[in-house]
Amino acid sequence: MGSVAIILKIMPESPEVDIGALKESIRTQVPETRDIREEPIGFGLVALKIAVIVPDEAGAPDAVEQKLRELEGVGSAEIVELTLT
Amino acid sequence: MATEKPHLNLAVIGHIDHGKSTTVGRLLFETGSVPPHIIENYRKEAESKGKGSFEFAWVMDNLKEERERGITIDIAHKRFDTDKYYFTIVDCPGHRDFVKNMITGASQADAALLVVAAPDGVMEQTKEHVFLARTLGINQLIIGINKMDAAKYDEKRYNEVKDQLSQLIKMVGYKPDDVHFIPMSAFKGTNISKHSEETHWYKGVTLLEALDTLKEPEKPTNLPLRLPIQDVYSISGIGTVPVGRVETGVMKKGMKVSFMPANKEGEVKSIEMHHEEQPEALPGDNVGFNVRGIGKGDVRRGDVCGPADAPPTVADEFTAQIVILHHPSALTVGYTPVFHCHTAQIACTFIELQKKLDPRSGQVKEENPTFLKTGDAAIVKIRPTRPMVIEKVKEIPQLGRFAIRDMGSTIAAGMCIDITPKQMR
Repeated sequence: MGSVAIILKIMPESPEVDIGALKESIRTQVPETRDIREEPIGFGLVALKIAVIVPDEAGAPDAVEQKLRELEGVGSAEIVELTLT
Repeated sequence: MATEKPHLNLAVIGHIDHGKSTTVGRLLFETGSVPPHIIENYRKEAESKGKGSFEFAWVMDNLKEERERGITIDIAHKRFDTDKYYFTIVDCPGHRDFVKNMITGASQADAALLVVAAPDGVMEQTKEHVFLARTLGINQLIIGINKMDAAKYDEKRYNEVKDQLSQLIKMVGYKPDDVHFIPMSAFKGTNISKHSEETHWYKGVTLLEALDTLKEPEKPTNLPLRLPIQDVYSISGIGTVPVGRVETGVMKKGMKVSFMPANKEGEVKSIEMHHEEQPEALPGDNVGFNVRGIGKGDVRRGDVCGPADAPPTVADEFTAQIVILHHPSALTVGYTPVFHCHTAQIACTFIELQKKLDPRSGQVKEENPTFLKTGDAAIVKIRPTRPMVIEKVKEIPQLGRFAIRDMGSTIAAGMCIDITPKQMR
């Protein structure tokens, strides 16, 4: 089976969330993370985009979304793009 | 400059093992998009081994390895240039659990390249992917009849597969006369960038030529505003700030907007993106906006923002065309799985199974079937268990498609073809 590169968009719970600390916990909790970038929205809110590689198999996309949603400070996490590597 | 060419997103679809990845690799190779050092290493390797036929597989393996090591947000997608366009490739995963993400995701494919192996013809996943392409709103299609080398470059076999495929695509609404069917071999490089002697009977375009016949998509700015809400914030000193991506239409400062199914109205006070105030937001923009007259508890994820004079449609019931991707047994009236449509996730009940469709003939196979199973395509009637915004795919395609999930796996994908609206006022 192949691997899938996915890009997720993560929104913080509030503008007060420490984005630096959030990035750190993403890297530790989701070690498959290859890249993280800040995408400023507005009103003090900053979204994070992250690139992750997962196997092309059952449950793979859900597992990553779920893991990210459980992190402290995360309001929402969803896959916005994907492709086989 | 390459970057000044218009950009298209190309989805590559097809049955597993029909040569999707080889086709993608071949496109990159023939357009000079494989990094030079990989080609150089290949030359050395080929010289030392003295063989040419393993060439392609070798390039592909190395490319894959290198990509997985160095993937970033910018280069998650493979890219190549034709004379006219600059393409990024969405190489569709084989597992159906990714279908939901393709339907609710951000990057809409502008065209699909369907790869079908000539020796096999139409297979289960070919059928599934054609339905998905249509459901995803991909209106431009190119078909590569691949592995012609394994079918002795036989014109008769090409025509048989072409006929099968014409029936299949006609059923979901593509016009076979508008679609290029290219006999090719991605492995050998046949009819990719150059016409090949082996298929002297074929007078049509090569794959690269076919890609240049595609049309550039228009931004859906002429449709009414639809902005599905992703998150809602209450920000001190400012007020309620919903966040989301504009799917269609234009949001302007000062506009009177309506949120459905919340049934709340307000006025857009300001719009921000990239931490800067914007006079308007266009399709594809990820924005936060402050609305006068709306409290944080009034709207939530899954609501849709639209103009007050053309508010999003709330469905009491709707009719849909669906394809069952995977169901462990049989699906019957009364089944109530979760529908994922834009940012909404709502349990909906199948209240009528109207027609089962036959993908090979394009005809109705059965009126009022008693059940549906994996692989079936059907017209069904659905009733959401709570108010839900959905639009007819013919009117606002971006809000007319959905994925159906149950027990953590993707069951089906579909599009809304008719709606019995709920009166909200």
